[in-house]
Amino acid sequence: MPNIIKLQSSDEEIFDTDIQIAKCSGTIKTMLEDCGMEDDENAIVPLPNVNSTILRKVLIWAHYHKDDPQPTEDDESKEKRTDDIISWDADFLKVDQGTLFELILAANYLDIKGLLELTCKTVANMIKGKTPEEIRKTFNIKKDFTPAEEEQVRKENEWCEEK
Amino acid sequence: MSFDDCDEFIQNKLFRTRGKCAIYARQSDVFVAVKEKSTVRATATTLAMSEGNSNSGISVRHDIWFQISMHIEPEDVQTFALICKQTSRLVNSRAFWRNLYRRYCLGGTSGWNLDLPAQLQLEQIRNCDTRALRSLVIEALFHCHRPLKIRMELGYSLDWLLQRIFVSCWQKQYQCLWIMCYKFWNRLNHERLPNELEEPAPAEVVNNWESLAEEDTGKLVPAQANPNEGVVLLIVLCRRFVPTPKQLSYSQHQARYRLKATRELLCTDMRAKNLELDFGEEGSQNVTVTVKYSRIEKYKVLPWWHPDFQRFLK
Repeated sequence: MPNIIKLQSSDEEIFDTDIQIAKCSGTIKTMLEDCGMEDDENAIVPLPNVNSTILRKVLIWAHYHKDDPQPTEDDESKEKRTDDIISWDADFLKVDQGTLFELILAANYLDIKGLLELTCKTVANMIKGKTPEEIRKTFNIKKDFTPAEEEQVRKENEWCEEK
Repeated sequence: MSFDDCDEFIQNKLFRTRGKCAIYARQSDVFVAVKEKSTVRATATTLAMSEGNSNSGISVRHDIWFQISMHIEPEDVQTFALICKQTSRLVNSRAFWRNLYRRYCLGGTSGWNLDLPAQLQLEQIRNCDTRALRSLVIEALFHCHRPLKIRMELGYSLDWLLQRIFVSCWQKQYQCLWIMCYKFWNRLNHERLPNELEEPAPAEVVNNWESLAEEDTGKLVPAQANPNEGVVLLIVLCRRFVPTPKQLSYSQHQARYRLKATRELLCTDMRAKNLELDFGEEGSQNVTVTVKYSRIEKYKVLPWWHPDFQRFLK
């Protein structure tokens, strides 16, 4: 059984990857197991939704976290904290917003729960303590509410206001 | 079902699915066709998102916001909803509230959480409609999520009541005390009253025909949304009875009053407080009614999510 598997990004770059690292992705794991690609040395796993820049980042993250225990179902339903990001992960995610958002999509597509949680937590932390206007400025998002709509949303969610 | 009825039923289903749903056809009409999926999801790159230098701002894809919404903390929900229409729609989705409940309110043993009253346990809320679910999850969060619980234990200030519309006022006597209850709400003029019946929505044309198949089996229990959402009660405890001003009791010409200001003043002997409430007719800047409670024992502001709210509601 080979230890290395070839992953192909959307821009057709090939990444020779340790099979155990690649298997931290639920999507790749299923493809390898269900399609019997595990035993084929020359098999190429196509990943048409992830480009090479993002796949490289994902593999760096997966390599660093290769020995992490798999999250159990219990862990998934536990209250999620947004302030427990380790410093390596924090440094890893010092990227521009486009890359951060692409990492979220890639983690979701590749079914890597740890990375998905990390990237979403990072954005959730960027939102924390900011006003909606500041968040829109941070992410360069256009305000598309009319004043009446904005007021309605504010009132509907007044329960989380602190006065 | 007669043959004609059957035809009509099939036609209706086909129309609603824009021709994609053939599962209701007679056996002789059944055929297999590949359902084409939109390729937008697969091909759209997020690079479009990074074109951040344009003045119009970027458009973050729905699935990115969806993933982020699953990690938003309860106290950040309003801020998240106020970012843009996409985020506000997500905050109104069933998945969002189910996720919040699962993360913060679900107990360890068979889903039971001993911090929650019976009506907020998973079994009670899982089948209600989205609006009712939202309301119940909010109530549950104030039982389970510590930052919100602390906020509630500290109590809400009178500022919560300002600019709210006066709805009604009633009194109860308890031993030697008078409990004066004011009901306010935060609806705007153009919004519907909660008891106004909504017209049934016309049968919508759906893109996802699988949802039609689920229609018959997964019907939601027709639970009503919380009619008290947006309501805040002011409870004033005092020893002397103060009648409700007649303008508030019998509003002339359907006039609506808003609470314009409140004053909590120390008595001259500094042993008690007086409470004054200024009401003004809607649309007018002037204060037209002032209610004065002298030497009050206590007051409490109870928003609709407060566990004591139902105890005082008339």
